[in-house]
Amino acid sequence: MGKDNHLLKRDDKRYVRIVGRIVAFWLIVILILELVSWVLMPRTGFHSGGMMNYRARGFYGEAENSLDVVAIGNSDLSSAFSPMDIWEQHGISAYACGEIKQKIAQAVKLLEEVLTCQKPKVVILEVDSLFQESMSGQLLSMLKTGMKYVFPVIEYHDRWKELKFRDLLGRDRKSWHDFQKGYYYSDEMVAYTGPDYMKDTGEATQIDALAVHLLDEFLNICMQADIQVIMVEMPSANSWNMGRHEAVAAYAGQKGVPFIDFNLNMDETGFDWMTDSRDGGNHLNYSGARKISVWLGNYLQENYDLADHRTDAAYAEWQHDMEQYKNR
Amino acid sequence: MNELIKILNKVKTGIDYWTEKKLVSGGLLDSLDVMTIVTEICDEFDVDILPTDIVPENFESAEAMWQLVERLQED
Amino acid sequence: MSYTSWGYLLLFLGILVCLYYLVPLEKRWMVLLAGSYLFYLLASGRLPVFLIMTTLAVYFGALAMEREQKRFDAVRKSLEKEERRTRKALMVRRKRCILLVTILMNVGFLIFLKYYHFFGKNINAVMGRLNAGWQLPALNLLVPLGISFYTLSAVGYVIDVYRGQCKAEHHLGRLALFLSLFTNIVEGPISRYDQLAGQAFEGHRADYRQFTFGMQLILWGLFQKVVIADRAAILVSTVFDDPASYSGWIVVLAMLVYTLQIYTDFAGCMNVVRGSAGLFGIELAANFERPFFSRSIGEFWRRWHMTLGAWFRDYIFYPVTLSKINLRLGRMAKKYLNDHLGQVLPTAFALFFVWMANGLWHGAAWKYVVYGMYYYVLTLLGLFFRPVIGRFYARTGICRDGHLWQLFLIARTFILVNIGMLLFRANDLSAFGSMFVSIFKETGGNWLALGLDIYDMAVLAAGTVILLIVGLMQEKKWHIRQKIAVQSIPVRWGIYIAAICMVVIFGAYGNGYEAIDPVYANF
Repeated sequence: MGKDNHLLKRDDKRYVRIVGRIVAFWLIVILILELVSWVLMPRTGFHSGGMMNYRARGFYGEAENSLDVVAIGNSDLSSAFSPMDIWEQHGISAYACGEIKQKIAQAVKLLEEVLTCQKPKVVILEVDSLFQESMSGQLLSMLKTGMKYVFPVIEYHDRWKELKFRDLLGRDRKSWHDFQKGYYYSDEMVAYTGPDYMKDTGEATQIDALAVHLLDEFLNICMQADIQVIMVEMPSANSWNMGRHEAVAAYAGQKGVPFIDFNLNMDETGFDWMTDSRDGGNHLNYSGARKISVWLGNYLQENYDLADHRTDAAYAEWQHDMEQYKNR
Repeated sequence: MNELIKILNKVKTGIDYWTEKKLVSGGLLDSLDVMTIVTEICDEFDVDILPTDIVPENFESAEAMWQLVERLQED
Repeated sequence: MSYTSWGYLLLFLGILVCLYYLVPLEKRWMVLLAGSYLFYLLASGRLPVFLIMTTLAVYFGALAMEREQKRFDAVRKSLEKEERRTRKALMVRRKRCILLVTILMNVGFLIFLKYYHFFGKNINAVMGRLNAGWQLPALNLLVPLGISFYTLSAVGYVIDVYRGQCKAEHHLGRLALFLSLFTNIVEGPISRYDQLAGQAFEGHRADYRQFTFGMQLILWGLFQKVVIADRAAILVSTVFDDPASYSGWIVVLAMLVYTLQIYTDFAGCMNVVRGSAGLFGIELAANFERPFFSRSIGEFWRRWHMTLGAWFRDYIFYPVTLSKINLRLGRMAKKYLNDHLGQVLPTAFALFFVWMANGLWHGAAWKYVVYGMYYYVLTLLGLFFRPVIGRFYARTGICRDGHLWQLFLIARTFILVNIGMLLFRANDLSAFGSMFVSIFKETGGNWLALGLDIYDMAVLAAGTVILLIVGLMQEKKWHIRQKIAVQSIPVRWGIYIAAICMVVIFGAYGNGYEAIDPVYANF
C-alpha cells in the first residue's frame, strides 16, 4: 500500500511538471508574439505607415468626441457616404469608416475601436457584409479577426521589410487627418445596365445564426453607450437582392431599428445607375455619393437631434477641411 | 550454386558474391538489379518467383538466394 | 480547409486531439473515423460517396477471397493429389477473378472520374479527323478528393490479401479508418494496410514525447510551406502564367524556384500531416528523404514521393516483370539477340507500364504522359548503357565514390530533375517546348520584378540554406528532434520560439499573398 502511494506521488509530480512546462512555454510564446507585434505595428495612421484599412481608421485623426455620426461598413459604404456633403448642408459631423471586404466580425471590432475615442449619437451600419460569407466562413473570420486583434503581428507581419529604427524609438507621430472624412472619391462613370436585381423572386434568404449573433452584439454595444443605430444598404447591384432585403428588414423590424434600403428609394434620392456608379454596379462615384449623402443628411436632420456645428469654434478645422474639399 | 554465382556476375560485376552478406541493405544491388536477377533465376532454374518473395532478406547474399531457389524447387 | 490554415490547425486539430484523449481507449478510433469523414466534407465540400463505395467494394472483395480460401482449406486434406491440384487451381482462379473485379471497379471509378475528359477529348479529336460523325458527350465530372490516393491504398490492400501478405479485414471500421484517415486523404502518404491499419485503430495513450515531436514536425512543415513554398509560388506563377515575356536566366530562375516550391510545398505538407498523426500516436511513412542528394534518377525516385514509388514497384513493376509474357520476352531476346539485352528487355518492358502509370497518375494531360516517358527514357538509358558505363569507369579510372565525382553526379541529377519539373509546371507541352528553348536565348525580364522584392528573395535564399543544412544533418543520420530534445531548456525553447516567430513573421500569408492550394491536392 505504501509503495503504491509512493508511485502515485511520482506520477503526479511528473504530471504537474509537464503541465507546468507546457503552460510556461505557451505564456512565453504569447509574450514574445506580443513584443513582435509591438515592434511591427505601424506607427502612424498614414498609408505609408502601412496601416491596414487606414482610411477606415482616419477617425483617429479627428478631435476626441467630435463626431456625432459614424458610419461603419465595407467598401460600398466608403464610396457612397460623403460626410463633407452632409456638413456642407447641415453642419453635422460625420465619418465614413469603410473597410475593404469587411466581415461583420470586423465591423463589431471597428465599432469598439471608434468608441475608444468618440461618442457618436448615431451609428449607421451598412449591412452588405452580412451576406458575404457562409456560416463556416463567418466562424473563421471571427477567429481570424480575434487573432488579429490579440496578435497584431498576424496583420502586420510583412512590415519587417519596412522597419526603421525610429519606429522603435516610439516617437509619437501626428495622426493622419483626412479632409474627406473617410469618403473615397471617384468621378469615373461605368453604368450598370444589367437586369433588375431587386425583382421579387420569392426566394427567401436568411441571415445566418453567427451573423445574427454578431449583429446583436453590435446593437447591444450601441444601446449600452446610448447610441441610436440606423441600418442601411447602399446601392449595390452585385451583392443585393430582394431576398436579402426581406431578411434584413425583418431583423430590423424585430429590433426596432430603422432600415433604409437605397436600392428601393431611388425616386426619392434621384439615384440613377446610368450615371452614378464607378464600376458598373458595385461601387458609387461622386455623383451617386452626393445624392445618397444629401438625402441621408436631410433624413438625419429631420429625425435626430443633431447639432449644427458650423458656427461652433471647436469645429474650426472642419471649415478648413471644407475649403480643401471644395478645391479637390 | 555455381550457376547462381555465374548469373549474378553476368548481371552485375565487381562484387564478390561468395562473401558479400549485405547485397541489398548495403546498396550494392538496387531493385532493378534484383529484378534482372529474378528473371534470370526464373529462366535458369525453372521456378516461379512471386512478388511476395521479393523482400530484401531473400537477396542479401548468394546463399539467401540459393535457399529461395531450393525452396521453390521443392513446391 | 488546407493543412496550413488557421481553421485546421487551431480548430479542427485542436478539438479532435482533445476529443480523442477524452474518450475511452477502445473508442478512440471512432473519433478518428468521424473526424476523417468530417474533414472530407470540410475540405472538399462534398460527401465521401465514392470513398465509401471503394471501402465497401474492397471490404467485400477481400472477404470473398478469404471465403474461397477457407472452402479449399476445408476439403484439402480429404482429396487425392490430382484432385487437390485441380481444386486448388480452381480456387486460385476464383480468387483471381474476385481480385480483378474489385480492382477494375475501383480503378474504374478513378479512370472514369479523373480521365474521362482527357480520353474523351483525344478520342473526339481522332473521331473528328476520321469524320466519324460521332462524338463522346462532354460530361461535367467532379473528381472526388483524394481519389488518386485512396484508390491506390485500397487496391494495395486487396492485392495484399490475395497474395496472403495480410489477412482479410473483418472489422469494417478498421478498414474504413485506414482508407479515410484525414491525414492521408488529401496528399498521402499512400499507406500499406499492415503498416497503418493496426496502429490507426488502436487507441493510443497520451505520450508527451510523441506529442511534442509531432508539434515540432508540424512547425517544421509550416516553415517549409508557409515561409518558402507559398512565397516561391508567387514568382513561379508570374513567369509560368506568361512564359512568352521571359527568357534566358529568368526562365532558369523560375524553374529552380519551382523545384523549390514543389518540394517545400509537398514535403512541408507531409511534415504537417505526419506531425498531426503523431499527435494521435500514429506513425506515418515518410515520403521524402533528401531527394536532391540523389546521384541518379533511379535514386531520386527512391527518395521523392517514396510511397508512390514503392506502390508502383510492388504492385506494377514486380507483377509485370514476373509475368509469363515478360519472362518469355526475356527468353526470346536472349536467344535471338544477346545476353545483355535478354536481361534488360524484361525490365524495360515492365518499366514502361510503371512510368506510364506514374505520368498519368499525376494528371490527365499529355504533358504528364511525356513527364512519365521522360523519366522512362532516362532510366532505360542507364539500363541499356550499363556495360558502356562500366567500361568508362574502368578506362578513365575515376573513382565512383570520390567526393568530387559524387558532386558531379548530384549536379547532373539535379539538372535532369529540374527539366522534368519545368515540364511538370508548364501550361502544356508547347509551352514547355518554348520555355526550354528560351533558356538558351538572351535573358529577358527583371528578376526583381517577378512579384517578389529583394526582401522576399532574401527570405527564399535563407530558407534554402536552412533546408540544405537540415538536409546535410539528416544525411549524416542525425536525428534532429532528438538532438534538440537533449539540450537545456533555454536552448530548446529558444529554437522552438524562434521557429514560431519565423513562421509568423516571414510567412507568405495575409494581404498581398493569396491562399495557395497545395500542389498535390487536386489528385
